[in-house]
Amino acid sequence: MGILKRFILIFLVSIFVDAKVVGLRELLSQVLPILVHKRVVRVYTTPKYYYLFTKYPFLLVEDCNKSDIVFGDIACNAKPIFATDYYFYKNNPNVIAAFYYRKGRPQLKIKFQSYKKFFGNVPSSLQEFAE
Amino acid sequence: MKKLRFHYIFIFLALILTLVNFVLYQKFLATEKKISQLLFQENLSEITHLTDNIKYHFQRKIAKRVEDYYTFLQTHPHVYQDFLEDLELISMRKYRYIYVLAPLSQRKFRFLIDTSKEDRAAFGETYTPLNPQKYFQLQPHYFFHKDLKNIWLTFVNPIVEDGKIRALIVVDFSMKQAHMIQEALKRLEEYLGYLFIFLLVVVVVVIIFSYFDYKREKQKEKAYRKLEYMNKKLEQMVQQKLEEIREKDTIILNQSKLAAMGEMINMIAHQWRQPLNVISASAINMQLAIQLGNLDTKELEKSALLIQEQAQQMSKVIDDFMNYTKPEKGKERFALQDIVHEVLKMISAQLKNHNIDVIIDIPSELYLYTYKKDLEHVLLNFLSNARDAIDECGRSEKKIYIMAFEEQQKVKISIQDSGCGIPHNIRDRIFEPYFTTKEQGKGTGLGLYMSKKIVEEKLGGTLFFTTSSQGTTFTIELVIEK
Repeated sequence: MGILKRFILIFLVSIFVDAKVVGLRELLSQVLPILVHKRVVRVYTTPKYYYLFTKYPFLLVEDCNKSDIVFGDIACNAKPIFATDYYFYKNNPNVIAAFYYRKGRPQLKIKFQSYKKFFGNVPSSLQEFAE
Repeated sequence: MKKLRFHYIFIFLALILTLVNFVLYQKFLATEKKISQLLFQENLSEITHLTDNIKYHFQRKIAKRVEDYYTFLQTHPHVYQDFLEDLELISMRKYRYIYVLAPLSQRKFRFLIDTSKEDRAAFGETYTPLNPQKYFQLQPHYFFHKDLKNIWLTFVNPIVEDGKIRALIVVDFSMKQAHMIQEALKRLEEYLGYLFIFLLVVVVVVIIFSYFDYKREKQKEKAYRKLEYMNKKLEQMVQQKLEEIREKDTIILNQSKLAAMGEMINMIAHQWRQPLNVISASAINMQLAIQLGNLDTKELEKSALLIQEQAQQMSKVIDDFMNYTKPEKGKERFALQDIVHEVLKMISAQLKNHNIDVIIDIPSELYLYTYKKDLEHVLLNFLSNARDAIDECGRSEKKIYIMAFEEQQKVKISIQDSGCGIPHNIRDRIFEPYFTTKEQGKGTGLGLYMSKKIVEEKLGGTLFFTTSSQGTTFTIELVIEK
């Protein structure tokens, strides 16, 4: 199961180039539930990213305290953050993972230390992206 | 035939044009490929040169035998800064990104230097390309990378030491210009392709049209031949019919002659009746004188003289008729008045018997140059018809007017009777052969038909009639020939 998921994730990341929006939504729907260990993920984000979380397995929340994860380059108390910028990812200790483009290539990264602080060890299917 | 030849020429020209176009198209394809290749080779050569220079520069800046470039640059920030500035100087717009990577694992790299103006990676940032295996080659190489907008060429020039890749100088090189040129060439190629197809279609259309035209020409030729054949046949038929008509005309003419002869005998009989009566009376007188015994020489001489006179008169009648029946000598000049009198001589006895007066109004100076016998024949026929018409009508006034006058180089001769006219229902048929209203044995129905034929065909004139209940007038119109 782990290998299959890993394969799906790599595949999704690879098709990003041609199908940005659909691919990102798919990728997040695969990655986030694994990251936060929940079937339905409560997401707090800026309106800019609402379109990514309008369907199952996401639930948009208005209060970041009630969310499982914060998406975007914003901070909310001590909630885990999924960033979209490398520098924010690098400098904010609450960022557990990030997805961004570098030189036109999609990059998925999981910050091992930060993730451990919130959720423990990085799931085996996402080990590939941990650092 | 000329049209067909023109079509062949046109098809030939169109084919030549298509062939030339096809050759040009092929030539263009080869040229296009060559241009693309040259352009690409030129770019590649330029970029190889550039990355070689960077590599050389990088190796000069960093002390040899440094195990870890990342750690070295981390501990020597001035070297990093110098190198970054140097690279920034050579960055050009067409080089999207120039960066140096250090391998971290089989799938990951670490950014050492990045000169990109946008999307610049941080020093030491890990980098996971989608196809890391493409980077791990000991020789400079390239591969294509496509994003949402453009096609990029990623050129990788590795820094290899002891057979191990220590760093990679990577340039994302825009293929936009080359791509645009290629696109333009492709469009041109498309146009040429369309032109080729268009010409091919033109040739096909021309061939189709020519085929149909050729077919039509053939049909036309066939129809023409058929028409020609039919024309010939028609001509033969016309000839045959003409022969038949001529034969019929000959028969009619013979019949007409016979009829005229009969008429003439009738006229001669009328002319002879009176002298014969006189001769008969003289003979009776002489016989009676012998029986009574008082025949004297003087009386005998007187009777002989009378018989002689009457015989001469009869002989004269025969002369007149003989003159009439003499064969036609050809055109001759004569006074119209004379010929009318000659004809009247022949028919006068009959007209006198029927108490018909003839009134003649013909200028003595009116001369004609035509076929005399034929004109006599026609006049005699009209006078004969006038006699019958008057007789049939039964009016007390029995007159025939013969008039002639000259008008606009033409002579008009009219024979008018005081009959009851021609009935309306037969007016259109009176000139038909064998049409007659006379009782059987009296008329052949050829008189008017022959008269019309003679006037129109031989004398070159026209014949027409006017009729009313007061009588009928037949008019012969002849052109005066000098």
